[in-house]
Amino acid sequence: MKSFLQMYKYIFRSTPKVTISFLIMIVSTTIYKIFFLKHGGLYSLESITIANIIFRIVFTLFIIGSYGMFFGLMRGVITTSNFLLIPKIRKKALSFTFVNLLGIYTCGILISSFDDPRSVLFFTMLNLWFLSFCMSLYFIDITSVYRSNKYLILKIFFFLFSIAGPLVVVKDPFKRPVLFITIVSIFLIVVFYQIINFLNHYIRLDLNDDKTKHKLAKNLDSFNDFIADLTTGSYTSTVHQIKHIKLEKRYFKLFNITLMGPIGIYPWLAIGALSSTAYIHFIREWSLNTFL
Amino acid sequence: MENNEIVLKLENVSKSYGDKTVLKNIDLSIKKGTIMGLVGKNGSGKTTMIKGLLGLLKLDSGKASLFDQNSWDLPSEVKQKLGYVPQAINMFDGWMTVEGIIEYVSVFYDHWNSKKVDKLLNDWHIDPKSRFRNLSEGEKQKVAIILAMGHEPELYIFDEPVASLDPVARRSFIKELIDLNLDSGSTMLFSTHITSDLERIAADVALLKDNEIHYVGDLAELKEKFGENMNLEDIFVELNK
Repeated sequence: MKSFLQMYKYIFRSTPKVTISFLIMIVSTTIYKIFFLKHGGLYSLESITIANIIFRIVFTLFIIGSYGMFFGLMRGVITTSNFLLIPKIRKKALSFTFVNLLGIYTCGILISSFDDPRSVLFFTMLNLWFLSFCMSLYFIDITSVYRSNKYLILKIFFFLFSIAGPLVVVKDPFKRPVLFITIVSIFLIVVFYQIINFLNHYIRLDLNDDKTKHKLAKNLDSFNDFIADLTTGSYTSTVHQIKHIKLEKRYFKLFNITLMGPIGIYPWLAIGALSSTAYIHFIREWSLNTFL
Repeated sequence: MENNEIVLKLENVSKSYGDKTVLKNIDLSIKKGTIMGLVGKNGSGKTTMIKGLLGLLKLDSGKASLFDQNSWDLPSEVKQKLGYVPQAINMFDGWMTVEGIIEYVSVFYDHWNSKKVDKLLNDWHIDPKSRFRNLSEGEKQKVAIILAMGHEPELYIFDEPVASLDPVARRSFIKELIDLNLDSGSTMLFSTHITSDLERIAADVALLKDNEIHYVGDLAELKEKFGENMNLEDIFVELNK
């Protein structure tokens, strides 16, 4: 219990603003659900209002952010050289993450539509996908979610396209039952296989050896380094530009680089517009297919 | 526990990275209460040896054990008795303060000597309220050392702990180690390039050369072999010619 409390403190002290933002997100969504959505869940409305879309986005961001935060803590335990030999730290970090993610899952079920079995199933599958995605993403350079380096192309394929697992649940399973059962079974088998391997490797500290890494993994590392160099170069050049423009125009540039990075605000606006369109389209399709 | 009890043991240990052999048939054991220095050139396998010993790295062959327990599967009771200062301090710090990190680490140990930690912070002029990321490399190293000392372990393993410390801090650190050894009989394995530090504290020394242990034994005996005028650095250079 004491260590759990310290882990909460550690997360809060490491990233205070982010933690406060997440707390505001979950509290506001809960208030919205309790006082404004008395019947039905956040994702099961027949009529979609602006407030509803905003809270869907807020709650989705909260779930994604929480996964990131707890997986970040687990990664920190294994990447911080001073923490490696602390007794039971990895087991406690795992159980802490499990308890919190279970809490978020339960909260998610209550806030979304717990009265609709298919949306519960979708939300469960989505959480499993988050788990699989975060395990692969956060630990790609440290420890494997598989037992060997074989069939790397298939593993990358699964990493990129496993989102199909939760998405097919939304569609009518009786239209193409064989395809539905195949995709869902493969998804569940691989995700549970990943979870078991990951737990085993994480607790035993069975880490990837940098010098015996698979060639493709090394190439991915080089690609990462290349992107990092590119970003650094881009920052340097933007800072150089800022030095040579008029003082009054510097504020916007500085604001831009601080918030949006060296690529500026416009690409992010484009990404935001595209994903919002896709999201709204998805909600409509989902609502029509599932709830009407 | 008797004084001739072996707390740390490597038996015929080998490790390679691809075609490159890093450790070749290493045998080493350290008795309780001993301070042993580990000396070797860059790339001689000191860090690999320490990581293998601590179970942070899979060995190709041989056996590594601490307190008679297989290093690859160390129980938490053994980890409670272990203090480790790694070569590189890579901590995700964010906005964490030094006291925040210390508080976080302390809850995992059955015993934590806060007074001693506060004294070390004070002696080494580290403000507990300062953010870890704002500290210099040397100060970060000091925090790492303090984290390894807080639970007063029986066995200390230091992987080049003084590399980033200034001479004053180095002396104070070495004094602390000597006091620890005298007061509680702690065992220490100390890897460093600064051979003068080893001469101050180590009774025994292990010399790594060509990925093998070239000499292990009493430092005074080693000096006798090479002549009284030679210090450990001269002997090390002579051996690596």
